[in-house]
Amino acid sequence: MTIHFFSSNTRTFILAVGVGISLAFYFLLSIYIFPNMYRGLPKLKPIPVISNVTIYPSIVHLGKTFDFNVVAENAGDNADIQIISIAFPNMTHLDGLVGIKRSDFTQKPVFIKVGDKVGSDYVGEESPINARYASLEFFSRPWHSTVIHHLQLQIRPEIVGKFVIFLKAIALPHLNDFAHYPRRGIKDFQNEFVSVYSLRVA
Amino acid sequence: MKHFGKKVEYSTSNRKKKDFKNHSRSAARSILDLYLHMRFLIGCTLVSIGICVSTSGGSWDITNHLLNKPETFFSAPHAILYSGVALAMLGSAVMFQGWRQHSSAGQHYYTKPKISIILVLSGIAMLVVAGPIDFSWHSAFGLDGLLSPPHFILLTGMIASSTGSMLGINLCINRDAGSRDKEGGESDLMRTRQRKQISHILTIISVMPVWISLDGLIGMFSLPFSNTQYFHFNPDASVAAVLATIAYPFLISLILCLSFRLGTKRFGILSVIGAIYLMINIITVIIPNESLILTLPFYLVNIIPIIIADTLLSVLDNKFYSICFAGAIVGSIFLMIQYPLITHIYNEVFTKQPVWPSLTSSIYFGMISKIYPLIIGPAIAMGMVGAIVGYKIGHRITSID
Repeated sequence: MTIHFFSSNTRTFILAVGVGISLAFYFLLSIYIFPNMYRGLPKLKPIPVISNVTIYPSIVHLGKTFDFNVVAENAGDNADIQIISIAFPNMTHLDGLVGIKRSDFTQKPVFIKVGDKVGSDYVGEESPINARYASLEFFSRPWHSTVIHHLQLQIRPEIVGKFVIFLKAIALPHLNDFAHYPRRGIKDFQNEFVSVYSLRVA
Repeated sequence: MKHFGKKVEYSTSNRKKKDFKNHSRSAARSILDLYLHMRFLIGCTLVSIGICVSTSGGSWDITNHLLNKPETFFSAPHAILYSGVALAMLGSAVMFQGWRQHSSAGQHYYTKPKISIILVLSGIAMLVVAGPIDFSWHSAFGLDGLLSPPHFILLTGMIASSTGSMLGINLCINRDAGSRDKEGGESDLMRTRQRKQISHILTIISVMPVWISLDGLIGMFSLPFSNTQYFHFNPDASVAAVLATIAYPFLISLILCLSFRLGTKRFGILSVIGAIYLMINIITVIIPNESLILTLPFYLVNIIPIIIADTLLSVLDNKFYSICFAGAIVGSIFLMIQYPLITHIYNEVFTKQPVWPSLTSSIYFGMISKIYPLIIGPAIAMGMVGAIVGYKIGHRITSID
């Protein structure tokens, strides 16, 4: 047998008041308090850094290969994606000329040839343009804070003379100037700063 | 007389023997009946658990695609997804055997669950077919979108088999309740209480996979995750937003009111189902994205309106306005319950920013106050419709004896 302390009308009134207060509390939290609280949170600031680059040997004979080693890290907060781009302004394609000896990135690298769509202005695929020379993009998704990645390429130049390599790192989402490396210097056709490395092909 | 007396003596012992035989036969039959009934029920439960595991794996897979862009078929979410499928297959085999033996034993009662058997078997067949197609699709086209032929087959199979097992479980519960009613006061109170508790747990298990798989169907046709290198299956942004605004509140109300009705209108079942749904979303969508972990309190408070709806339905028992009001409450919170994936749908219409995993919460909380006034009307209306439909479906299922 159920014992009721209140009349039916009083119970309905208590229920209505309880429901009203609970709903008001819920909507206040969900629509006003939490959104204002979370909107004020600082955004993540990833800082890509290329910590070491080595080229061996520094002079290469035509038809021979040389090694290109890169060590990169994220010195800031976690990045959703961090890309290391290695471009070859002397090359139109990479088939048979560039080989990957070692890579510890989480994703497979992307080989880019002349005419392929690439991102620009540090916004990735939001602003696509056509590639003017061959390049190789290594990336990890996500790239956590302080994590270091390595890569080693074996490159065989096709022509005698100065062989140039452009190197850059970009963290996405790109929210400030710390999200790319280098932060000043020469800009490539994607309107993004690059570090330039070269060697003599004899 | 002596002879006659002897004859009487003989016939009495004969009758006793016959009675004993009849009793033992009927006891054996009832044990066999119970065994087959249990087998059918266990089969249905395994199918429901399997589909629940596999749909949760599917939800984690979507998050994994957003965060890590996996490049192969062999990933942890896929392992969970296909383990669930394997469990559901095992359940369907157990269920089918139980049903077949019961049918061959002339138990006409078991013609009713035929529809659940058909749904489960056709659903499982789709799941079995979808696996190799999905693997081939990955091999041929690499990273696949959310809406793709193998994914659609997989999800349709999940919906069919989870609906079939839900019907099977609830028909078994009805039958059990019917036999309990016939037993009347003879049955032990403790045993009845235990049975009721088990039937409530089974109701929860049966409803969960239906909710998650239908949820996946809406997501498949509204989330902008289906454009790939080879195919552009993304829905139109406005159509997707309208679909989400109509379908999500309808589904949430439908499922919660259906579960309340199937759970013999008791307080608690709706709340538990709501809490499990929130937990699955937290585990598969929020926690894997580190930048969303801070927003867990926002997501957890969604249990408040669910408990309110449950209280209203159980206190104001069976009243039309209580169903409508509960539906309106539950429908009106769909924007919060579907966090964070719903950000991608409305972002395509309102802000059009790139939704990076680390920016999801700031985009969502930036637009919630703008969107909510626009969607609250249709959400309440669809919530009410969903609640009425859910309650009616529940009534229909529970009235099948």
